Amino acid sequence: MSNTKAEKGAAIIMLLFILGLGLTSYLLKSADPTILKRDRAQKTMQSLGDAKQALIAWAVNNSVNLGQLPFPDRARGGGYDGFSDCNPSGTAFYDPASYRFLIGKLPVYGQTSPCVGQQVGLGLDNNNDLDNRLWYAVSRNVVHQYEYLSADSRSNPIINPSIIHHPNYPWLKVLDRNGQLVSDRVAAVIIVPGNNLGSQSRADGATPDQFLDGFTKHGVQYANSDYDSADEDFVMGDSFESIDPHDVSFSQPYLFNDQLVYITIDELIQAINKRVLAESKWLLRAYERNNSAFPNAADLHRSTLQSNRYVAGANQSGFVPFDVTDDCDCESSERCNCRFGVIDSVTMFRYSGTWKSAEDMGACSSTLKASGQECLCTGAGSCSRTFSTQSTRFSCDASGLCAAHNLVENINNKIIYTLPKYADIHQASNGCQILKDTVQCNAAGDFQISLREATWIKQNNWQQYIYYAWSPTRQLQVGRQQHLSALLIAMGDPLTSELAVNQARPSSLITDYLDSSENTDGDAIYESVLKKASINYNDIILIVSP
Amino acid sequence: MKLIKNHIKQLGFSLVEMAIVLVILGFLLAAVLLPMQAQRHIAAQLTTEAILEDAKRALIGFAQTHGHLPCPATNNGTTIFPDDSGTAHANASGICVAQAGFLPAKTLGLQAVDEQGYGLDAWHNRIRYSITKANNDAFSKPTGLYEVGIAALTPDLKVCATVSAAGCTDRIYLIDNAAAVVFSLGATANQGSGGADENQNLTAPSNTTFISHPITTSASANGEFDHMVTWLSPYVLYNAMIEAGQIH
Repeated sequence: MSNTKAEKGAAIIMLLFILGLGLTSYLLKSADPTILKRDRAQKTMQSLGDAKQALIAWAVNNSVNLGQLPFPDRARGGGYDGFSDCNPSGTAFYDPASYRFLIGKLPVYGQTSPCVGQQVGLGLDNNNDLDNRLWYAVSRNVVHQYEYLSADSRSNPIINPSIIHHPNYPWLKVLDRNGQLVSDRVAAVIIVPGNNLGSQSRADGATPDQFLDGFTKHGVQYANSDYDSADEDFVMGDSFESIDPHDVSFSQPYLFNDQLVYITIDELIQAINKRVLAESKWLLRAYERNNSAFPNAADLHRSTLQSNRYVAGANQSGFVPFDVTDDCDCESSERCNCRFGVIDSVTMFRYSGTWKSAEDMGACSSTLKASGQECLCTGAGSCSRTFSTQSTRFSCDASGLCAAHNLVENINNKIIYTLPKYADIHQASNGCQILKDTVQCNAAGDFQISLREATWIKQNNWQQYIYYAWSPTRQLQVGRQQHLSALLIAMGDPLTSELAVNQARPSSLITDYLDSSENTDGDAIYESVLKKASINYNDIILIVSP
Repeated sequence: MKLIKNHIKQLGFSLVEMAIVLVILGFLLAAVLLPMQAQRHIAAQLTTEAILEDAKRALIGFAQTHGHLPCPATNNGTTIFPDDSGTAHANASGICVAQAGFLPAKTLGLQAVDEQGYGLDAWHNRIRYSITKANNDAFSKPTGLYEVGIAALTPDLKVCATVSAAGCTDRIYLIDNAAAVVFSLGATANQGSGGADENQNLTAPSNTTFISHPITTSASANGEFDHMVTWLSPYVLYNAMIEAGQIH
């Protein structure tokens, strides 16, 4: 009896049913619309995150003015064409009181000529669809000053830690769904406009209100499209899908589906700080490679703003000596003193008479040039020509003291210095003059050598925000890292009195620059590089060597 | 006999009944499976997007750690390491053996790989990867980027919205200074047999211009295109390397 039942195939049918059920549930799960919707939402947030990252990275790599952000694409002259639209004065678009230049789509390409340099795009890779791009609003503090036509650097804002608390214009604000302040130090806002709501129509060139939304809560109106003042507020509202149509706290219909992220000026300055530190580190290490020692620091203890000039002796902490790292001088066109390492080479051009190459010694070599006979030295050595017992000679010792002896004629002779890649000539005076990347001395004179820092460092006064210390005996310590040769600290903006600290700069006190007792007690030990920023601490430490 | 006949009749359905049921089942299955297939295709695209995103993050992480980007993996059939493996293939100076090749997933420590260690997309095709040779191969040499410095670096990979007779001009490029390009051949994996835009992406071995746009069919002007292209912005790369102290 039981055999007869088995032959009816109930077990197989049951097995097939279970298999079918499993297959169906697998297929349904793999194509679950909820999962796909969640993935889409995740992608949207990733787009916003990528855009934020790209904007900060673009600003940190802005070769024209470090930290400066691009203008939005404003649909100027041809719709939203992907180009960042600046505002040349003198055109019909010019209005210094208007803020409409500061909101538009996130640009894909470089700046529209002629206002702003750095004609390159953001390089963001989610811009395949030009019709569905992110929106972007930027503070007037961090874009080219559009009230000036000139594209030169004077029309760019000075961006350094001081603008965090002392901006030229109030920062943008971001509010939450209840209108409560989230941040009032916003440098830029990036918005996903979402799909059209209500009567929005997004034809090419449509105004911001056709993309960006707003709502009214408890009678107060909030909108993301009405950027008309320096301290404009943007709102992180809830999507219309999650608001009850009967919620009386909102004016109905509630039509809002913008999603936004923002960049605070603190975030931007934090990122720029690291670029400045990296640039300074490279210069100092290049100097150290050539000289087997770091340069002396510039004076921190001063009451007025001065140039960042090294202090002779053994000054091992202070500012980075961007302006002057070394002095050189010449007594005449035939005798100069400049240390090898600080310079790459010294060349004496002898107007008349020749050297005998067979007599070249050490690190000097002679060559006959159309302009005269030259002797090039990269270290201790000499060029000479011996007649009978009389020897005409140009020689340098290891310290860089170079002099000519027994020249037949001393008219039109000159000494020319070439510098390492990291160095520049700060100033030359009297018989010395700057010739492109070299210094020529044809009479008694002197010159100063500086670090060849990027122009944006001093253009934005960053030389006043970087502390530097070095130790010839590797006595420095950062956190638990010992035996360090050199370090840098980005000092940040002065801490304010409301935080129980009142730093004032310029100052003769290190406590007005650095923030913790460990950093200001004058010993060789500093805080860990991992110490978190707080309201009482904004130092960023970078180990330079080893 | 009559009893037996009735008994047999009760054991199953007639052919007509079965045919009707099968037709109805066919309609029902088609109604369910066709949209499901489209959704599975979208899911595969999303997965590939995520893989490409992971690849970008891994490239940046590699640069933060090593100070340069890895070279593409190569495949010439010799089976001599590091060729024919998912390993970055550079010569002793750090210059890439091939500018355009495959994502070196083994070097990057990525998971979705085939037996040889090449990175795969959601359709199990190898992911392509190209690196700029600008500044005398500074982007792949161990200390190349640090020595040259951000201000002097000029990566030169371009990504355009379409192949154009006028070239990849500033009116149509999405980026003209990418450090690296990573792309999937898409669902159709037409290697060289797609439209003009797909062919451009596969112009080996020293292609510096790539095409990226939404999917198009063979009926469109530049033919079928379903490559999924992403790229490494120099600014994002430099910024990450600044954080790691690998560039100035």
